[in-house]
Amino acid sequence: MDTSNMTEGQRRMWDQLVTILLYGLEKGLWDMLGEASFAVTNTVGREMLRVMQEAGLQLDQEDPGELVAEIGRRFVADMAIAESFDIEKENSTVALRVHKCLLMDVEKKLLDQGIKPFMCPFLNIAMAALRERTGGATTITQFDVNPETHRCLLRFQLLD
Amino acid sequence: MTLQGSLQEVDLPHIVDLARGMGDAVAVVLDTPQGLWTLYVEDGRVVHAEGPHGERGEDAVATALVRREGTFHLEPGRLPATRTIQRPWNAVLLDALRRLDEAGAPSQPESYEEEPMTKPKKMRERIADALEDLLNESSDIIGAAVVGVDGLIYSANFPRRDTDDNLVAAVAAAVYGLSQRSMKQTQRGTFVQTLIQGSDGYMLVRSITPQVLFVGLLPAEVNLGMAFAEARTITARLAEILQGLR
Repeated sequence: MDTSNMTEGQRRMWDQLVTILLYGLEKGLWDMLGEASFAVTNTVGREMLRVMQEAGLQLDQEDPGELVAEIGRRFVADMAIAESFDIEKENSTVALRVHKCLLMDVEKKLLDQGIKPFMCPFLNIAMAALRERTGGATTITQFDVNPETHRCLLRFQLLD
Repeated sequence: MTLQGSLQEVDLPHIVDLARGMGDAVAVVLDTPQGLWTLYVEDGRVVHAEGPHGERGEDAVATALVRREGTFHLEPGRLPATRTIQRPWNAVLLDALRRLDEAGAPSQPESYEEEPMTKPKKMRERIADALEDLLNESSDIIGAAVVGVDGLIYSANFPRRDTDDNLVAAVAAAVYGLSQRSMKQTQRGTFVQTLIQGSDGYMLVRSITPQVLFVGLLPAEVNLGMAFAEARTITARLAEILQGLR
């Protein structure tokens, strides 16, 4: 959806719609599946990754940190989903910090309901790309969402 | 539930592995003749450790590693007052072992002197071996996998090469999630297993631990009683492997 030609009012309504849709989807999935919702979003992430690759995303980076950085760059620079991000790679761990994500309202609503967010384009697509690269041996060990500071921290662990 | 055991039987890396799979926050307490050590695990990461002589952080991990006498227990839900460890557990463990090695520590566990970083892989290999044994010995289970409820694949051994392991893991986790919710809504207790029947066979999803599932594929002409018995046996063996007891 190209939102660049929208008026501010239209853009606000569009953001509200996305928030309602995502919140409803996540809350409903959580109510049905509980913690297994994370596993379901792995398959969602794979499809999102495929769509992005069809749209020109190239992930030929050898280094997992650079691979996640490329995904972050696409979301921040091209899609303006968040204001900024940074990557920290240490041994078998890649940490991605996202600042001022547009989806923070959704995450906050979920946290208010006692649900840990699990649908996040950064999380789902980076996880799909890393699992594709490592033959499935990647897991998320930390996903902290802080609505007060508008920051999220995602930490991926490569197991092999 | 509080898990406990003897430090003579289970060493610290195995205990921490167990704690990392238990949930959001778990404290690992070592009760030894030299005093109490406590390691705090949050979301699978060791975030703080303290020893009886004022050691904190990675120093406390290093001194805890050589404890071979006493007992341990895990306390789910116990949170640390502070956080002194930022690095991944494998890096902390490797450095601690290196320091002990340089200091000539006498009672360091041999398996970690040799290959401290291969622990996760070794566990996966043991799981793969267990599945291989199962499939070799059983005619009632013809394909099997061990997957996390988050969709992580520990090991998979399916008869068809074109089976998408990742998708099977996601489906199994979803089956587990739905089944668990169903049990709760209908007051049927905790989840044990789900059997799905198709025209060409069955899919069995059985809980190994609260975080890890066994997936079995059964042929259409199966003795379900035998298959259930074999599933019980293999999940018990896999639970021991996951808990570092085998």
